[in-house]
Amino acid sequence: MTLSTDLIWIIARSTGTASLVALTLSVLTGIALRTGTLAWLSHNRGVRVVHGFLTVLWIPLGFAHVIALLFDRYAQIGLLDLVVPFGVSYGRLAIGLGTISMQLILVVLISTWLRSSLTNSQWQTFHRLSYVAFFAAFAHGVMSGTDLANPVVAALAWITAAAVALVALRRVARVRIPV
Amino acid sequence: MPDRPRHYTRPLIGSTLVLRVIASALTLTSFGGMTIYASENLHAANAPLQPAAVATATPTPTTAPTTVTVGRTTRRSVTSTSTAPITRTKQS
Repeated sequence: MTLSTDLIWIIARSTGTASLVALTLSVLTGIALRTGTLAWLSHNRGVRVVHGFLTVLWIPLGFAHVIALLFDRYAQIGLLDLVVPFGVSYGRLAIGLGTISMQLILVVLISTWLRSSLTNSQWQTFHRLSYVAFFAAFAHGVMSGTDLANPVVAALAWITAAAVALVALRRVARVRIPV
Repeated sequence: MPDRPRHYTRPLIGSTLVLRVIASALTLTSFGGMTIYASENLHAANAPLQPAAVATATPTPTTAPTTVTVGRTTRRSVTSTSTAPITRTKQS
């Protein structure tokens, strides 16, 4: 294994983890806009700004994760696998969920860019796909993540999932914190 | 009966810049931490995904250094290869 191969593998792992962290923060702040869950931390305008800003963080990280895996000869992931999920010869579900997540996120992003030409209900319908995308990304990380044996990484993964689950339940229950 | 005055609690952080810095710090800390951890723990013996990467080398009756990779663990040694092809398997 050459240095560059190792480097690609390190980048794939670190960008995958960091993009999941940033995506979690993005989902949390997005839900908090409706529920007021983060009212103790900041006003809604601040939460909205951070929600938008987080795309600047997780999009490049997620992109780098995909590109690194494309260049990792060992991972054997091709361009077609970015379009057609569950086509990889190994770990079909785990890697396919990553593909599904990426595609759903793209739909959410495109619908956000086209928001002015969509009705509010149409945009909300598209935007709610981010829940599914997050779940798919998380499952992808848990099922394929090499580093979950490490207690710190495992704790990070489950804390992010628990945080999103809690605020999502709050959102579903439509409990609003008085501000 | 008059309504109770609503208790307004000021949020902890008023500046959006501070919020952005915190979000960036959390993300970059996880990125940096994971980069350090991944570079120190490059090889995972119990990785959940294991692509069937098989590379076959032509056997040559020479004494040459060979690289055998098992579970992304690179072991370099000097061995004499004169019989079967070397099969390399790696784990993610």
